[in-house]
Amino acid sequence: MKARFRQSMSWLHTWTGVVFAWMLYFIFVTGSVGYFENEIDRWMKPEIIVSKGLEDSAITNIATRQLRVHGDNASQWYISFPTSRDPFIEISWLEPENAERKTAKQWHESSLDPVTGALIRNRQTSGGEALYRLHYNLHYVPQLVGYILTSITAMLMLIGLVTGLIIHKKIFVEFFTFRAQKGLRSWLDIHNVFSVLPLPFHLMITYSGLLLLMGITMSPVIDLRYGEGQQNHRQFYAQSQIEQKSQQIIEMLPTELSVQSALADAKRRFKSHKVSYVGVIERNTEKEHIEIWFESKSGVEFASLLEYRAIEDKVILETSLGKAGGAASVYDFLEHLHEGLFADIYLRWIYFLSGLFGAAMVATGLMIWLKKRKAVSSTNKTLTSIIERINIAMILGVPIAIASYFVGNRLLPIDFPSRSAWEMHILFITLGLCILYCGFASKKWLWQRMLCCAALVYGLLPILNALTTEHNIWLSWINNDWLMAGFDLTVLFISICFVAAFWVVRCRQEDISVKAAQ
Amino acid sequence: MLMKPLFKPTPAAHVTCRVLLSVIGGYVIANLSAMLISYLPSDNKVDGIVAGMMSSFIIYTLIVIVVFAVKSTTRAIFFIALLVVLLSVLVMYLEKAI
Repeated sequence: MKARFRQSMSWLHTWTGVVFAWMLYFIFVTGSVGYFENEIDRWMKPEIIVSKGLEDSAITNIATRQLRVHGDNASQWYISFPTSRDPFIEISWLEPENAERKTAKQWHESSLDPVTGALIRNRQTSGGEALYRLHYNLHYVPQLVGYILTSITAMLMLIGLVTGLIIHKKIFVEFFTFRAQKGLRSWLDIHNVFSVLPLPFHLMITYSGLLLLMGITMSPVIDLRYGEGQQNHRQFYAQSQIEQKSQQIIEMLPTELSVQSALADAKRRFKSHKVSYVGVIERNTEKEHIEIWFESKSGVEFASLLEYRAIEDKVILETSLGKAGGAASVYDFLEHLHEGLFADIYLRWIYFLSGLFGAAMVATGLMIWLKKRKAVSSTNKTLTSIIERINIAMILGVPIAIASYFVGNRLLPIDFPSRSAWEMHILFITLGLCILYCGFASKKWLWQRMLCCAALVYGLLPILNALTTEHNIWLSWINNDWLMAGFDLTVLFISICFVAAFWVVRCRQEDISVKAAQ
Repeated sequence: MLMKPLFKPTPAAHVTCRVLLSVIGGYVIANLSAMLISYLPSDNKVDGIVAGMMSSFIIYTLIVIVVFAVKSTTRAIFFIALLVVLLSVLVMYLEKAI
C-alpha cells in the first residue's frame, strides 16, 4: 500500500474509522445508555410504586393472587421481587394463543401496588428496553439488516483498534502527553486518551459484540456442519444452549411443592443470596416446574438458577453448573462481560463512562480527519463542508434526540394512540431536524447553538418530571427513591457539562476573532 | 524478465482492488478457517463450531491487515487466492472424511 508498514496501517486506521463513524458513534452512545436500561425504564414509568421492607413470602402471596385472576390459563408465570435496580414488584404471564379471539400468544406484564396488591396501570412507553435495543437493531430497518450493519460497523471498529495499536508504538507514553492549544496535536492527544484509557473495554465490547451476532454473520459455518435452513440452525442453537446440571432428590412431598415452599427451600439452601425472580414454567402440563433465580453480583455469571420439579412421588432439585464446552464457556463469559448484567451500581457507571469514552474517541477521530482534510488545499471544499455540518449534527444531535425521547414520554398525552411507537418516532424526527438545521444554519455559530440546545433539553427533563408527575428531585431524595433522583440528577449534570462545553467553545471563538482583528 | 504490463492501473484501482480483496477475500477466509477449526474437537461438534466462529473475527482482522500491508497488489491477490484454495481443499477433504 504505502512505502512503510506503519504508513499503510495509518491509512487503514483512518479509513476503517471514518467510513462508518457516525453509525459507530450512534451505537456507542445508545449502547452506553443501555447500561442503565432498568433505571431509565423506572423513570419512564413514573406510576410505579417503590416497594420497601415487604417479606418475599408476602410478595409471593400478593403476586400469585393477581396471577390467578389475570393469567390463570397462562403457560408461564414470573414474579419479580424488588431489587436495587428494580425496586418494585412485577408480575408477567404468557397468555396462550386464542383461536376464538384470534390472538397470538403474548407476554403481559404489570407492576403491583405493594400495599393494596392491585395492578398498576403504567403509561404506554417504549421504555429503557427500546433505547437499549437501538444499538443493534437500529429500529426502522428489518432485524437482519440491523444485525448485519452493526456487525460490519463492529468489524471496522475492531480493525481500527488493532491498527491504532500498531501505529501508536509508544502508546503508553503518548497517553501521558497532552499538548494543549496546539490545534491538531491537541486533538490527537485527546483522541489517544479516549482510546487508550478504556482500551481493554473497547477491545472487549467490540469483539464480544461481534460474537453476539456471529450466528448470523458467520452462518455458513453452521450451514456446513448442521445443514442450511432455520430448522437446522435451531438445532445448533438448542445444542449450544445445553447446560450441565446437577440433580438431587429433596425432602419434600410432591403435593407440598408450590411457589412458596420452593422459595422457602431455596432461601434455606442459599442464605446469603437474594432471590430476584421466580417462575412457574409449562403450567398445567406434566413438565410443570418452578424456577428460582438469584440476583448474582459476586461473579460475571448473570444469575444462578434452581429448578424444582415433581416427578412421580419425589421432588427433584436441579442446579445449573454452566455450559458444557470450553469454547461455549468462553463465549458465555464474553457475552456476560458485554451485557454487564452482573455489575453493581459503581461498575455500571464505569461501563457507562467507558462507552461514552468510546463515543468520544470516534468523535475526536472524525475531528482530526476533518482538520487534516481541510489543511490539504486539493480537497473538495463543498464536500468537506457538508461532512463537517453532518458531523456536528450527529455528535450533538444523538444526545439531543435521546433527551427528546424522554421529553416525549412526559409530554405525549397518556391515551395517545400508539404512544410508545411515537416516543421512538420523536427520537428520530429530532435527529433529522438536527441534521436539517446543521445543514442550513450559519456554520460559525453551529457548535455553540447545538450545545446550547443540548444543555436546554437536558436541563428541561427534571423540570418536566416535576411538573407532569408527583416526582421531583427533592421528594425523591426524601423518600429514598434513588432511581428517580438519580435520573434527574444525572440529566442535570449532563446539562451542566453541555453548558461548560458551550463556554469553552465560546471563549475559544472569541480568542480567535480577537487574534484575527489584531 | 517479466512481460511488460499492457496498462498501468491507477492508484485508485489499486486501492479498490485491495478493498475488495480484504472485504470479500477476508470474509471467505474467515468462514473457511472457522469451518476448519470446527472440525478440531472430534468429540464436541457444537463447541468446535463456537470456537471456529469466535476465531473467525480475529482471522478476518489479520487478513485485512496483511492485504493492506504487503508491498504490491499482485502479491496480495496471490496471497488471498492461495489461502482460499488451500483452506477450501482442506475443508472439502474433512467434510468427505468425517
